Amino acid sequence: MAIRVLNRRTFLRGAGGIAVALPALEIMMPARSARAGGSAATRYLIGFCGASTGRRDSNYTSDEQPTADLLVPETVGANYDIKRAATPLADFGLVEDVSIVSGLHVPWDEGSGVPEAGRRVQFHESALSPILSGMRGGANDGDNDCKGPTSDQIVGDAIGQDSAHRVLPVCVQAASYRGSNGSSGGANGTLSYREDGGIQRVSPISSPRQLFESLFSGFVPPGADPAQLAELEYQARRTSKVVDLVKGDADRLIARLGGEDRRRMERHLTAISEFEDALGQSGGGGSECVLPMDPGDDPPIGNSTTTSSPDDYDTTAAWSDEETRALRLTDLIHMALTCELTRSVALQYTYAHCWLNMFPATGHTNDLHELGHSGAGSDSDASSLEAFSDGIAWNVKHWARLVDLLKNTPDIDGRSVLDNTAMTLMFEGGHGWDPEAAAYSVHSTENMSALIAGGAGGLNASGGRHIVAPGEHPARVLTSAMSAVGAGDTLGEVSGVIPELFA
Amino acid sequence: MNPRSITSIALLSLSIGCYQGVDVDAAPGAEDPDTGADSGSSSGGSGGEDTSSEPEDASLVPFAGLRRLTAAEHDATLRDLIGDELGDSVLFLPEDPRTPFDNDYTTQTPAQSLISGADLLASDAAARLVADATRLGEVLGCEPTGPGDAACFESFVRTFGRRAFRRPLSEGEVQQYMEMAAFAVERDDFNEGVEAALRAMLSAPSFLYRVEIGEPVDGADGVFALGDYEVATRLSYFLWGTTPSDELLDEADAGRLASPDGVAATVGWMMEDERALDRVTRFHALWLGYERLPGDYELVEAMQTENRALMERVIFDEQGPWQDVLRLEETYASDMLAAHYGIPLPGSETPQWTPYGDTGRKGLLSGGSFLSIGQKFGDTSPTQRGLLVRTRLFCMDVPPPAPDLNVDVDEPPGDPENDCKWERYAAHRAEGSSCESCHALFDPIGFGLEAYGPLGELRTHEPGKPECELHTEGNVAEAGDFSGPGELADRLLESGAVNRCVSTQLYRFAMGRYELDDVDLELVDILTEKIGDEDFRFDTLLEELVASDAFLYRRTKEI
Repeated sequence: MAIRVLNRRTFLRGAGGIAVALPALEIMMPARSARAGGSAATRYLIGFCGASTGRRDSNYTSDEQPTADLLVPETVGANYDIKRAATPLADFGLVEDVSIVSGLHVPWDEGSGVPEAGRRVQFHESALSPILSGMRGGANDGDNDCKGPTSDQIVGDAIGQDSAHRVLPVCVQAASYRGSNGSSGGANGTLSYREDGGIQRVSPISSPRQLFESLFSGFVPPGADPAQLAELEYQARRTSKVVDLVKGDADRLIARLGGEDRRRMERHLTAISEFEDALGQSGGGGSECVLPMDPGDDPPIGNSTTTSSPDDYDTTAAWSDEETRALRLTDLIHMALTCELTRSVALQYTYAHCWLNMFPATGHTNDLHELGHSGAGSDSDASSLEAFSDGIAWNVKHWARLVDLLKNTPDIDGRSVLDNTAMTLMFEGGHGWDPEAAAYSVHSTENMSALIAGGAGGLNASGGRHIVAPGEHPARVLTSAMSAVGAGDTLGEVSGVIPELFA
Repeated sequence: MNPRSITSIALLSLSIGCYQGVDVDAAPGAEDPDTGADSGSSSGGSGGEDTSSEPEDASLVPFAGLRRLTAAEHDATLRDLIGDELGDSVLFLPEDPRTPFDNDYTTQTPAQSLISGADLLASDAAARLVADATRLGEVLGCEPTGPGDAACFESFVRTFGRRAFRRPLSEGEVQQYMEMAAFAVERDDFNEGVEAALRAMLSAPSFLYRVEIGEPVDGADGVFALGDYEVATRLSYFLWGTTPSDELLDEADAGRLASPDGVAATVGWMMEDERALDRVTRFHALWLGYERLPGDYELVEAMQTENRALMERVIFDEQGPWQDVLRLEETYASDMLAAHYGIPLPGSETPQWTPYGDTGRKGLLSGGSFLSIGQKFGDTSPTQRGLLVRTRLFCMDVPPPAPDLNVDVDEPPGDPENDCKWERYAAHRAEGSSCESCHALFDPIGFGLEAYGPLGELRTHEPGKPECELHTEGNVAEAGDFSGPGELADRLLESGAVNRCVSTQLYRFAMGRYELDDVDLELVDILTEKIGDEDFRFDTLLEELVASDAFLYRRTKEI
C-alpha cells in the first residue's frame, strides 16, 4: 500500500531529480517493465473532453451551415490553420505533431433500433459507449454505460500486463457538481470499463496526491543516505505486512460469502492484488525517469451548482481548482509513461454532460455544458461559439501540454517518448443535425473530431495533418491508435484503421 | 428538544475502555481465519432471549448485497471510531452517485483506485491519531508500559477490532494483528505497532464493507437470518449513518437484537441520539433533492438550519404526524431568512419559529431548499419542478421520453410578441401534441410554484421581465388546483399517494438499492399498510421497517 508516513514523506516532499532504484532492498521489487537492449515500450493514452465541439452561432453559422465549430482547420493536410479551440496546439508548437481528424460520425437510431456502434436519439452520454467501446449504446434514456471493454483496457491487456499499472484511469474533474436534483456521478464520470463477469466501470483517480502515492511509492530521492534507505526499507516492509493482512481479510470473506457478494469481494481482492503489484515499482525508462515533485495536498472539492443563467452564474462553485489538478496530474502521468509505470492511460479531463465551472478556466461565466447552450452571458466579449470553444480549448491545452512534455522527453531508444506513444483526445459530440430536436444543434454526433498525436507504430508518419474522414466512426481513431501500439484494430463493433494516419 | 446526548457520544464510547466481555471464538460472525469457518452462532452473544430464526414468510425476504461505506459514512465512521473530524473521504473514494440516495450498492464497483484511496485515508487517519495523545489514549484504553507491552497491545486489538469490524475478532484474527506489535519492538515505540494495526484494520474489507452472512434458514434456500452484530450494523448505518457504538455492540452481544421486539426497543434509545436527527434530516434532503444547496453560503446555512429544526420539532420533539413536516405554518428563520422569503420578520438575528403569514407557504415544500430544485435556463423550470414533484413526492415512474423527443434543449423559443415563460411553454400544452401527454403531468405543478424563485424568494414577475407577471395557479391532475407550495402540500396529502411514497423512499434508503423487484414492492405495500393512509409518525415507520423481516433477514443473489 502507498507509503504514506511522515518520515518518508518528509524527504520525498520537494525532492526532484533523478530517481534512484533500490536494488539492495529486497522488498523493493525490480522494475518489471525495464527493458533490455535499448528497445522502448509503446504507450497509449485516451483523453476525453465531455463536450461537443460546435454549436449554432449567428456570427459563424448560415442557412447552409447552421452549426459550426472553431476546432477544425479550414485547410487540409500539413501545416493546417489554427482556430480558437485548437490554439493550444500552436501555443505549444505542436502542429507538426498532432493530427486533427474531422468529419467523424456516430450513427443513431433512425427507427429500427440502435445501430451497430451507434446511439439512441437522446444525446447526452448516449454516444459514450460507441465512442469509447465501439459498442452500440443502451436503447433507453439513462442507460449510459459502455457495453464493451474500452480501448485502454484492451491495450492494457495487450501490452501492459507486465507494467506496474496495467491501466491507469485518471480524471481531472473532481466531482460531477450536481446534487441529487440532477445527474450525478456514474457513467458520465467514467472513461474506463473492463470485462469481468460483465462489463464493469473502473473508477478513476482524481486526486493528484493519491496518484503520486500510487505511482511513486517505489522511488527514493537522489542522494538518499543509508539511514534514509533503511527507513524506506522499513516502511516498505511494514506496508507489505499491512497488505498481507488486508488480503487475508478479503480471502476469509470470499470463503464465507456467496453469490454476487462473493464476486464483489473477489473483484475487491483483484484490485488489492493490482495495488500490491504496483508497490515498490521504480519503473523502467532511462535517465529521464525521475521522481516528480510531490503534489502536496489536494485542492478541496467545490460546491455544486444548479443550471443558471450566465448573468447570475455562481463563479465560485463547481470548481475544485481543476487547473491545478490538471497540471499536477499531467506531470505525474508524464512521468508514469516515461518510467513505463503504465503503458495505458485513460485520462478524462471533463465529465460527459459537463457541469464544470468554466469561469476560472476561461473567464466565461457558465459551465461547459451551458456554454454550449446558453452561452457566456453579457459580461463576455466573445460570441457564444467562441466562449464555448474556449472551454474546449481548456481541455485541449492540458492534453497538448502532455504531448509537449512527452515530445521533449527522450526515451531509452533515443527517440522521444511521444515517438513511442499513441495518444488521442476524444469529444462527447460534434455538431450538426440533432435527431432529438429535429434541428441543427450542439447535440449532435455529426461533424465530430478527434486529435491524435505520437509516432508509435508508424502513426503520424508524415507529421501532424488535418485529415478529413467523412462518415468515419470516431472509434476508428482509437482503433488506429490501438493498432499503432500493437493492441489490434478492433474495438467492439468497430474495426480497421484510418489509413491516412499512417501514410 | 429531547435530552439527546450530543456528539460526545463518540468519544464517550471510546472511553469505555477495553472490552473484555466476549468469548471471541463464540462470537457471531467471528470466523476463524485459519479454517474460514464460523466459530460461533450468529444469533447472539453471551446472553439474551430466545430468538426467532424463521421469517414470517421466507418468500418475502428481499435481496441484500454487500455494501461499501459511502464517503459520508466513511467520514462519520472515522469520526465516531477515533474522533477524527477531518472528513476528507470524498477526496479519495469514488464519487457516490445520487440515485437519489448516495448509498446504492449496485453502483459500487471495486477498482484499484478504491484500494489506494482507502489505504491513503487509513494511513492518514492512523498517523493523525498517534500524533494526538488525547485521542490515542481514548482509543487504546490502556497505558502501555513499554514498546513490548503485549497485554496492552492485545487489549487494543480486541477492543478496537471489535469496533472497527463491528463484531468481535476471532482468535486467529487477533493473533494476526498482534504481529504488528513487532514493529513497536523494532522501533522501540509502542505507537508504531498501533499505527500499523490501525492502518491495516481501516483498509480491511471487513471495515470498508458492511459484511452480512447470517445463518441459513431451514427450508428457505438462499435466505439467511442476520446475526446480532449484523443487525446492529444495519441499525446503526440506517438510523445514524455511522458505525455502531459500544453500547449497541453490547446489545448485540447480549442477544437483544435477535427479535423484532428487541430491535424496536433499541430503536427507541437510538432515536434519542443526535445522529438520528442528522440522519433523518439527510434522508429528506437526499430524497427531495436539496442535499447540495447552491448559492450564498450564509443563506444556504440558514436553510440547512431551518430544515433540521423542522425535522427536530415534528419528528423528535413533538413526535407528531410526519405530515406536519409538510403543513407546519411556521418556519425557523432569522430576520435574514425571513426577509429572503418575504414573511414577517421575527425580530432576531438568530432563528426563531416564525409564522409564514399570508404568503401561501406551509412546511418543507415552502422553504428555499425544496424550491431550489429543478432550475433550468437560469431560472426555475416549471417542467423540472413538476417532474421532481411527480417522481420524488408522488413516486411516479415517469417513462423515458419518446425517442423522437428532445428533453435537453435550448430554452423554448419565445414569441416575439410575448417572451414570457407561460407563452414559451405553450407548445407543451398544445392539445394532441406529443409533448402534451407528459407535460400535463409536470408543468401545471411547476407553474403553481412560479411565484417562488430559485431559492424560494417571493417574486411577482420573471427576473428582468417586469411585463411577465407570475401567477400561482397550479394543478395536480388527480388532486386538483392549488396556489403556491402550501396548497401543493395540501393536494399531495389529500391525494393519498404520499404515505406509500415515503415508505418506498425510506425502504430504498434502508436497503441501499433504488431498483425494487416484486418482493420489495410487496414489502413496501405491507409497510404502508402498517402506517395506514392517514397521519402517521415517522418514528413508527422507522420502527416498523427495522423490526420487519426485510431488515432482519436477507436473501443472497446468485450470479
